[in-house]
Amino acid sequence: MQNTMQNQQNPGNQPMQGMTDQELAFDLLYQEKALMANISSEVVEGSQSGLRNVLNDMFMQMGQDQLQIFQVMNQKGWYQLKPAQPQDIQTAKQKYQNMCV
Amino acid sequence: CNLSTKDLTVIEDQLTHLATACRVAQGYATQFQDAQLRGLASTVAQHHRQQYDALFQFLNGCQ
Repeated sequence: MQNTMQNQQNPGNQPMQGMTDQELAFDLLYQEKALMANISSEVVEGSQSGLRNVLNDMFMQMGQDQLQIFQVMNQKGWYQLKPAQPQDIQTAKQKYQNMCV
Repeated sequence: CNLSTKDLTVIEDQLTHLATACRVAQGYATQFQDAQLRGLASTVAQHHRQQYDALFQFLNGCQ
C-alpha cells in the first residue's frame, strides 16, 4: 500500500525527497519483490530456452539482492518476523507427512 | 532466435521494468543516510544495469 501510494504521487519513478532511510528501504524492497513477481509470471510465457535462461539468471540475482535488503532491514529492527512455535511445526509435520501418497 | 511475439513482448516488458528499477536504485543510492544502505542500493542498481545489458544483448543477437 505504501509503495502504491508513493508511486501515485511520484509518477516519475524517482525517489521522493525527504523520505527516511526506513521508508526508502521498504520502497526498494517492494521494488525488488515486484520485479521478481513480474519475471515469474512472464518466464512461463517464454518459448525460447535462451530467453528463459536469461530471465532465470535475473530472477536468482534479484532474489539474492532482495534477501540482502531484508537482512539489513531486519538487523535495524525495521522488519521483524514472528518465530514459528515448535508445536505448530510439529503439527504441520504430522498433517503433511502422508498427504502425497 | 525463433522469437515468438510473446517472447518479444516479455523482453520489451522486462527491459522497461529493469530500466526503471535501475534509475530508482541509483536515486536511492544517493538518498540513504546510512552508508551500508547506500552501498546496497548502488549494488542493486549495478545488478539491474547488468541484467538490462544481458537481456538487451540477447535481443541484439536475434534477427
